[in-house]
Amino acid sequence: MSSAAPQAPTTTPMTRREFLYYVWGASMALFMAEFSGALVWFALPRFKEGEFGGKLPVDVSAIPGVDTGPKDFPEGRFWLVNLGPKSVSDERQPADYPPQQGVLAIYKVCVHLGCLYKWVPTNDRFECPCHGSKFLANGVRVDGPARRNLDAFVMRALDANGNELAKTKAGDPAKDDSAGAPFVLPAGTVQIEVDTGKRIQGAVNTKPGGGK
Amino acid sequence: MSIRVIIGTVLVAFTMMILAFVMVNEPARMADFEAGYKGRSIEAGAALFQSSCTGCHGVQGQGIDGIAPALNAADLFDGVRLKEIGWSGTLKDYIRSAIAGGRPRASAVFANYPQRMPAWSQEFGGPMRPDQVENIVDFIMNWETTALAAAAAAPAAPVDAVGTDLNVELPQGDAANGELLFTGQVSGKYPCSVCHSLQAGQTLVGPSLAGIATTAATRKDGLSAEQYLHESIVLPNTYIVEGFANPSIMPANFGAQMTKQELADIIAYLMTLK
Amino acid sequence: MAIFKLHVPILDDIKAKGLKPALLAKVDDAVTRFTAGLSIGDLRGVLRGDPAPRPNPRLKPHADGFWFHMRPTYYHNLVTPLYPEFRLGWLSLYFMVFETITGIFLMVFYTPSPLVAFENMLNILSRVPLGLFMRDLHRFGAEAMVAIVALHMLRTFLTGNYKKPRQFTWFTGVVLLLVTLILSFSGYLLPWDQLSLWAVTIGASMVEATPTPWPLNLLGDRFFGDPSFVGTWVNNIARGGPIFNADGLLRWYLLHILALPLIGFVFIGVHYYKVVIHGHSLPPEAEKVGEDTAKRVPMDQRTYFMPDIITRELFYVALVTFISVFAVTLGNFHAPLEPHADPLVTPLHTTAPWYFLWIQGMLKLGDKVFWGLIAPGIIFGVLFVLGYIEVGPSRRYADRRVGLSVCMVALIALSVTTFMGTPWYAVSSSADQEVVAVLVPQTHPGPLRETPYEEFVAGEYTVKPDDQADPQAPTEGLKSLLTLYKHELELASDRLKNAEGIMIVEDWQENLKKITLRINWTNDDGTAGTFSQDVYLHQDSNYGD
Repeated sequence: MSSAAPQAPTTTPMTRREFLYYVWGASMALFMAEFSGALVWFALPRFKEGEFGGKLPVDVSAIPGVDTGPKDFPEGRFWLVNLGPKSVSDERQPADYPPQQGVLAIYKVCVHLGCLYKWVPTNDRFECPCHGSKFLANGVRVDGPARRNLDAFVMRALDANGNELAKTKAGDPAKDDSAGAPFVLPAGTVQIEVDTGKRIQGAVNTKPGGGK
Repeated sequence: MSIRVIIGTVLVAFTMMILAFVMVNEPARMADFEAGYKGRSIEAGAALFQSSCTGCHGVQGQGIDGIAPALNAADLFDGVRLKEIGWSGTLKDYIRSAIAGGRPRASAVFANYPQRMPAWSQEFGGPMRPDQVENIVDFIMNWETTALAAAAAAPAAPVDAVGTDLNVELPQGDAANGELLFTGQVSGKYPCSVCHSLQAGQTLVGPSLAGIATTAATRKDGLSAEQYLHESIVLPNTYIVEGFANPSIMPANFGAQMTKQELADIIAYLMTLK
Repeated sequence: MAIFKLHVPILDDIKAKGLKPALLAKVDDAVTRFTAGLSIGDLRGVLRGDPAPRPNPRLKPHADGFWFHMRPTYYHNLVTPLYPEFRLGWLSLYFMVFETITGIFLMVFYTPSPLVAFENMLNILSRVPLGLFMRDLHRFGAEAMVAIVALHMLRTFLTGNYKKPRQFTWFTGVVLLLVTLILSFSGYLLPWDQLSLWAVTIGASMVEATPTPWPLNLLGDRFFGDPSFVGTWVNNIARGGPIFNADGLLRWYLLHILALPLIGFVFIGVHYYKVVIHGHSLPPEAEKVGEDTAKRVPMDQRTYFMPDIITRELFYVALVTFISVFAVTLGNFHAPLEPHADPLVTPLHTTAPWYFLWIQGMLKLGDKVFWGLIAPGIIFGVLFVLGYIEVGPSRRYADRRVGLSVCMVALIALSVTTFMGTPWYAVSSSADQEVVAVLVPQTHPGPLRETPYEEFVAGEYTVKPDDQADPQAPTEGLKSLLTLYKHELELASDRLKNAEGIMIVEDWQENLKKITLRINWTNDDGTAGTFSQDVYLHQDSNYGD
């Protein structure tokens, strides 16, 4: 698409005025970039404490006893499990995922396609009604079409003065066994705080019967 | 023309700098503002408390015996009251629900406070908006530190309580002191005048006590005026004046709270009302 | 043997010309299409300030492009400087866009329900980063826009640009003035604080005064039991009920974000189209009387849009954006937030926003049907048809002495009625309440609440106007408050005889002080009068910041 008339040359040297225009244009582009960053910060939703997406405090008296099965926290959309020796010696546990003890906050949404799975006491495991994924109490998948273990929330153990005594380790559980792992509540824990805005994805688990 | 371009660039640069400065200070400003509005909520709550709550809960939230419990009290903030009532939620939720929905008539837990607390929230037919209820909640919560700190200094129940045994011997009563006790001028103790008017025919809550010295003798056969008065104060449910609530809403714990001398003084004063 | 031949034109070009020239040609092509007719070289020529080549490619974006289509290709040299137009029309449009953008950002966090609107405001100001910034920008833009639009109208009148052939342009402009005023007014209601509710209640209550003419009043009486049903219906439609309620807030919200912007943008389109069609008229002294040469710009009098006009416009945008950002940050312009709206309590000294004080002033003169409806109706009616009735041919200032004098009188009347609209004029309650209202006003924090918390020391302080000595107090803050108190009692001493002002400060609760203001005086008949008001002040409330 070239016009018939001669075009002005593109190779003449830049004048000062032209350069100043480019600088002005660049400053306006920078301002737009700064403003867009501010806009994103402005628009990100904030969560109140107690609201899903924010932090949920749980008194230590509300935590289930060791190995007594998961406890439902519907407003936080998580199960709280207290894993003890019984769950560690569970024979269904796949070898790839070393079992650990302690308290864990597991997200109630199935990692397959988003349904809320149930705890089935007779079978002593989580089972999802939508497509049949099955997980042990510690979130490790043992059967079904899900492709990874259940997700967990970052949890902090706080003492009476609000000091942090322990915190779930963030990271990728596929590479680091201690990421997203449960921890035993340290002595002096008065309250735990589950941060439903920070989720740790479960380790990859695709082998039949569970495994990487 | 170039001048415009230069100044234009400078203006854009300055605008960027101001915006960056604002962004850096934002978290501190937001925290400040939030604290500020919490403060204003407490102020509004104080004004609402003054106009709506002090009549029953006392000017400083200290409660009025037999009318409404103390709010400026350690047991509210240390979990004891919540446990007694069996409340499983947070303290703030408890206070909010009490203000919004009120309290029903006397139950076993509220034997000392037989009166109903009205519902205050517009949601339940009361006069207040939800934000006003929230203001009062913030105001009451603000008593936490001082109430817990003052817990140690709380006075014990009088050792010399008169009890409910009608046969107990009472000392000589002083009508003048009895009048002070009746009108609540003795450090806020049992102001009978809140419920019992001294004007004939005027009912505040309970029956008027005008001329009670004469009437008391006629109320129950076999009881003298003083004996009747003694019985009505420590065991208010034994005789209900016609037209008043049965069971009585007069607190039943005066026997545990009054000393023998105080009861004698009040009876002596009432006997002067012929 | 190839089954198909992949034909990629760029590769052919590269083969023919070499990599760099081929890429450059592609970019040049893209730039020409993007700018609707200017190649890279043409663009650089514009930026360098070269004289336009022949044929002039700079006309193509105006002819073929969308964004430049409505902009004129050139202006007359005499309308390029600040005088005579001061770029007020451009600024009005700038603020409309500015308000739309900041408004959309605020909409993300606002719900128009009386139950949550105020809470949303608190959320925006305390939990949304830059929420205060956005809200203040929106408020600043709104007030600036009303002022700029009014100045634009004034300028257009003074230079006589409402005359033939621009009468309809002026007409659409008055429509836009109304749209601006109602946009600002409807936005005022949305925070749902005391100021919002009552200022807009005052304004909207005028519609209730709409008269029901004969024979409609008879019909109304017969069928609805309400002889003034037109006023009642208009009021109920406008407010969603006899008083502002949830329906009313929603209706005014929809007016504010949907109906008025749509009407506004349509009329802006018509208005600007007419401006360009007739051309920006020259300063009155530059033309022969009765002539309108705006469209016939001689070749030597042309300032081209690119680069001169667009540079000036962009410069103005940068300047006004900077001023706005400066005003709401370092300039401390902040939109206030009063306590939650209370439909049961009207604060003393409630006023309309400043651009409606003139109506509030007029309403204090008498019958609200005449002063609230008929008089403004006549004023706007005259404004609408001004171009059609004022048909003098000359735009020169010397030939329009009558018109300019009328304008002067109108401006003076506007100032006087605006002053009359303030609470200073003819609105007061009893003298004791007025004195206390100086210290603790009901529409804004005021001197007492703005005094820092630490300055209040517990105790009882008394001031008497007769005292010669200045009031004594342990802190400077208390001293200045007591001095103000004494001064106000002195001013009111003709109505409050033997007055004595008391201020009691008590430590009421943790970080909370209770301040009681009491005035005792002697009435004319010898009885004692007393008035008392309590104020609570918390350490964190930050009224003074």
